[in-house]
Amino acid sequence: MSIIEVKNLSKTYEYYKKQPGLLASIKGLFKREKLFTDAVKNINFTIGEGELVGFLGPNGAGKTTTLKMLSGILYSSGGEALVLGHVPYKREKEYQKQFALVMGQKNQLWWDLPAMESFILNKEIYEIPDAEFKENLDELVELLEIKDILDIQVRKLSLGQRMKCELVAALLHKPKVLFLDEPTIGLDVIAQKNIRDFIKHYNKEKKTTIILTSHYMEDIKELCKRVIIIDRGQILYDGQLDDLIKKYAPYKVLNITFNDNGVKREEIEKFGNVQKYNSYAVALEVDREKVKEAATRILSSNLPVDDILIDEVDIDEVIRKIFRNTHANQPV
Amino acid sequence: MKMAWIRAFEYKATVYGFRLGNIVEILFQVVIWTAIYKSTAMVNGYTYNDMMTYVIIGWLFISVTQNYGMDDVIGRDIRQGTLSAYLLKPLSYLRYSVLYSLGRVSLATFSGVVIQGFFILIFYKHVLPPSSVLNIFLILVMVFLGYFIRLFLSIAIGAIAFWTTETDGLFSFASTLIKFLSGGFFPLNLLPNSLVSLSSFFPFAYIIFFPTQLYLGKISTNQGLIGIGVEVLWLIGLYGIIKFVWKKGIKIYEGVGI
Repeated sequence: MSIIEVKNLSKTYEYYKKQPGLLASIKGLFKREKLFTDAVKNINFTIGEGELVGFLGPNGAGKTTTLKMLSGILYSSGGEALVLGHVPYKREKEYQKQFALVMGQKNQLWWDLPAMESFILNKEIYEIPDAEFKENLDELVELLEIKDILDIQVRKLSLGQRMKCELVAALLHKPKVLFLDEPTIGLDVIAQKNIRDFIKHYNKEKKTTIILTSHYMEDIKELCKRVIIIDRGQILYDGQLDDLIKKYAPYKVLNITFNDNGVKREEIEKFGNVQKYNSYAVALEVDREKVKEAATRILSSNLPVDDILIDEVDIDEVIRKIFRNTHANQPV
Repeated sequence: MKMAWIRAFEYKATVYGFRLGNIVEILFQVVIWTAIYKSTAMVNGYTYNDMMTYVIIGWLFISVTQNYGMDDVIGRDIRQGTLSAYLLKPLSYLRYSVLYSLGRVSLATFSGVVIQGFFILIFYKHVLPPSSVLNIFLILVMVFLGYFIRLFLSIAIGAIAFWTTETDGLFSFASTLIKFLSGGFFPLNLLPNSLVSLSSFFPFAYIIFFPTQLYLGKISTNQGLIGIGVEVLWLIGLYGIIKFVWKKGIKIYEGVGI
């Protein structure tokens, strides 16, 4: 069953060009140049129950705009979106009680009050029964290990602690759909891992449908089987993360180390495409089907091979490649 | 509402700041009028005591109908995109604003009343008693509705932030204008009569001017009742305007900054 259905969804922002300088500013009071930008252009996708989908794309690609449309903050300019059978921008109570949006860059807790006060406020807003509230809260607090910071003013918390509290606040009403917009942004490696583990666990336990955006490939690799890659408002790829690698990187990487006198570039070039080279360590791109054969040939040659490793291409590399390609094709 | 109350305690300094500013402004008005009455016994039918009463009781009404910049709060929510957090949740932002404002002002209002109490004590020789018991009741109703008129005006003004990002000057202009039109600087009947009758069609005069007139017995109980009627009509009207403006604004809201 699909939880989220998006058809030809678009969003156009209107804005005015502002010229620098005083004179231009005064001119701008009378005549302004109206411009439009398409933040999201005709995107389509469906997401099923319990899926954890990664939204990937550079800054300004339209990820957040899409999430905002799905959560009803923004009106769409075209197309339609259905989440749990509701049209988000109608902002029906039944819908709002079933989803949550967490933004790593934005604070939804009461800045000047302890997090606990925000939790209680959410309990009232979402009309969560006492018993359920207590049970959920205890569970989340234990999972995230934040028992001792509940009574501290939010502004005095560290970013990582605050993020954990944001997650608790968003999950108290047991949403069926969760939108996470860069939940790990700015966190240190350990805090990132904590949050990541929590999301993974939560998705598995509660079967919550989650859309996650992140700039950290670690997040995506750890959490998402399926990714949607979006750039300049358009979907470039929608599918399994593994297939993405196969599609965009039809080769594997041979990492070979040499001893003795090392190796010359000309000697190794005939086996494949040289990615990195120095005389003692070489990375070679070789077609998937030919990789075994190439390895055997290198081993049986008279090159001073010390070690040879066959690796999958790094996902970062693949994605960088995708973006580089599309940017090359579309002039700015 | 409880939250706003707790928060108000966190911002004691702001409240004290406001109070201090008020005290200065009241003293300023007292000084000016005292100077004027040195050379004349009557100004447009106001004796010195009338005027003192107008200033001190008038300020009492100002401080209890005050919402301490809800227009700013709402404007900021829109401008900085914090409104988004409310749009996600199953609650109406407008209803929330009303409750929040009530919670927010309760402490400030209390302190305002205490300060006006002090002023009444200090100037007790010049502060006249209310004209009648029935009028006290009418005044209470009028001032209570006055609070909501000011609040609704603030909400409507705050919504301007949907259309323009530069709102500070506008807000300050609006609040000065409202104070002037409601008689916060001086009694409106110092102005030409035609303007006074014109002002009775607008909601502003009912916040300060009309209740003080009622207090001084310068208008009849009947006129007071009509005034309350006008207030109720305006509240309904303003509610309609807010709903309309809000609906339009939300459509173009971009939730910037997140």
